[in-house]
Amino acid sequence: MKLLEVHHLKVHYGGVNAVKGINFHLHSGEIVALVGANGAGKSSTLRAICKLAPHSGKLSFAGKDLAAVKSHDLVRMGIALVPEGRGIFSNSSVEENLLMGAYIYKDAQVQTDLEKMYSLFPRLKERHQQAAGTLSGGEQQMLALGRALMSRPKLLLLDEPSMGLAPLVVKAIFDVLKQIAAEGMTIFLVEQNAGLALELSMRGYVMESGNIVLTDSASALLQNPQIRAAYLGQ
Amino acid sequence: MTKSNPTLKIILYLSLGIFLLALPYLTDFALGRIWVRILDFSLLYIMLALGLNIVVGFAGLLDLGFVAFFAVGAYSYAILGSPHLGIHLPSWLLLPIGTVLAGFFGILLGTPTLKLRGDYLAIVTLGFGEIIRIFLNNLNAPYNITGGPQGINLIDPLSIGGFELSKEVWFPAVYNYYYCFLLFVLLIIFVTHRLQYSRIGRAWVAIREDEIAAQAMGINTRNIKLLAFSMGASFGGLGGGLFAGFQGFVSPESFNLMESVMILCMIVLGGMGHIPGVIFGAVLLTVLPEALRYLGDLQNHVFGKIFVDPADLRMLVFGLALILVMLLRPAGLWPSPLRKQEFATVESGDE
Repeated sequence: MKLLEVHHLKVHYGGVNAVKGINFHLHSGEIVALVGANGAGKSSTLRAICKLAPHSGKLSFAGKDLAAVKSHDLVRMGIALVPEGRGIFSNSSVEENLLMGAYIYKDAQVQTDLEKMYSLFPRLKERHQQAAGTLSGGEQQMLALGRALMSRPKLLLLDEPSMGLAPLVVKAIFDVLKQIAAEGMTIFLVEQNAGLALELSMRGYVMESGNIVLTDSASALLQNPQIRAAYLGQ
Repeated sequence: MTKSNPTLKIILYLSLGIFLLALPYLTDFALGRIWVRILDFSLLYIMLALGLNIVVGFAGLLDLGFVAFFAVGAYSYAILGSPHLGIHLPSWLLLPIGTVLAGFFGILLGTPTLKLRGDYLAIVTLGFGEIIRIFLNNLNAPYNITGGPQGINLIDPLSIGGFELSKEVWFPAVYNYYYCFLLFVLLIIFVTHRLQYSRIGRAWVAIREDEIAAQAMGINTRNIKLLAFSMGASFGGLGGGLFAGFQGFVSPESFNLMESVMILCMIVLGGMGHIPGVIFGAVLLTVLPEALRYLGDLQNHVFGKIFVDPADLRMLVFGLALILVMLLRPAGLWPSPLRKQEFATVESGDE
């Protein structure tokens, strides 16, 4: 079953066309990467899916048209976003951040999910009373990820989870993603770090100046000489 | 959270309660009747500061026109409860009317400014505050609604079940008002406290910190922002109604920009978003300018003559005190523990 289907999506800011009519889809349980250089339109694509950027085209989720759906209703449908630059609530405590992720649920239901997040990210448990803004970049990314998972999503959207982080920290985060994926989560990953993203994913789309120029299985893309030259520096 | 001894807690609350009940007597005895009146004003300002705290402290929407809601509450009380139009509604009706009307004005201000933040929002709210004041100043022709620059006089005093607070029965009138205002302040503290730790309170904070992330959490940012505006405004309106019934006189002069700035200062100085801090800031900024009036006497006492006019010196010292507090305690005098942490650490993370 196709969980997310994007048809002829365009994103335009004033006169600038950031995304020029792309088509792609995700099956349930799939991990798909959208890779490309800076300014290729990856983040704009994600923002459009989340109704945060002006766009045209057809978006549907689990067979339902998203045209009339508001940004804040997406999470109730099962779409969770880990925003670019993490977007954590820095003056709130770690625990309050996680609870915000479960905003759509009544507090009583949330406790078990909270325990689950703490076992997934032991670092967050250690620091649950601390202001989120005082965490390191890696911990903040984990918090943003944990917060998104608190809404029990069907589809997890990640915008550049590796941004600005040390390789060792990135590896830790991708390990957690692997763990979540193994439990059957559908993940759409937008990344500049093509090598890492494709290693995790089953399929990949390559984006260049607003268009999808290539799509294949992740392993095939990793072998593709063009990709290796352009994105993997080999 | 420290789990303190429950008996200790009861003793603490009990002694605080006795202190609050005895405060007008103590103040009257030590400083004179005029200071009980200042105490009454402190309580009014606590209400206003807690109202603005919802908008600025919780939801992070910088509002420089908050006094407009205070004015709406005060004038609705004055117009519907004075010989001005010959309408005399009872207090128990006037106060809710002012509260609801101010809440409505809060939505009126909130709706067109939903997309604005920070400096831009501040300018629009500043304009809104001035518009209300200018309306009050000029709505005396062709029909005299607000009394124009002269304001409205002889406003009915607050009364509870036929008992007018301005009458001296067991206590002097200022004591009556003190206890009445104290009751309302406690009510507002209770409501604010409950709100802060509810889902709504958390949603406000989320909007303040990151609006896009807040939307991604499923928060309807439009409704939650409007709720903050109307909630804060309604507290301001209640304070305004009480002010009108207490003072017996309202004029546009009481609702100028300086008032809005002062209320904002109370929040920032006390500790934004932290209820005890905001209360502390409100009391301090009401009492300090009054206390500084004694600078003249002090000079006389120390030097035998007055070097600087105390009226000039008062605002100078006051301004200096504000600057010093902000330099030495940037998170406010009594910030919430989390906020203190945030200010204490230099921007962490590896970006």
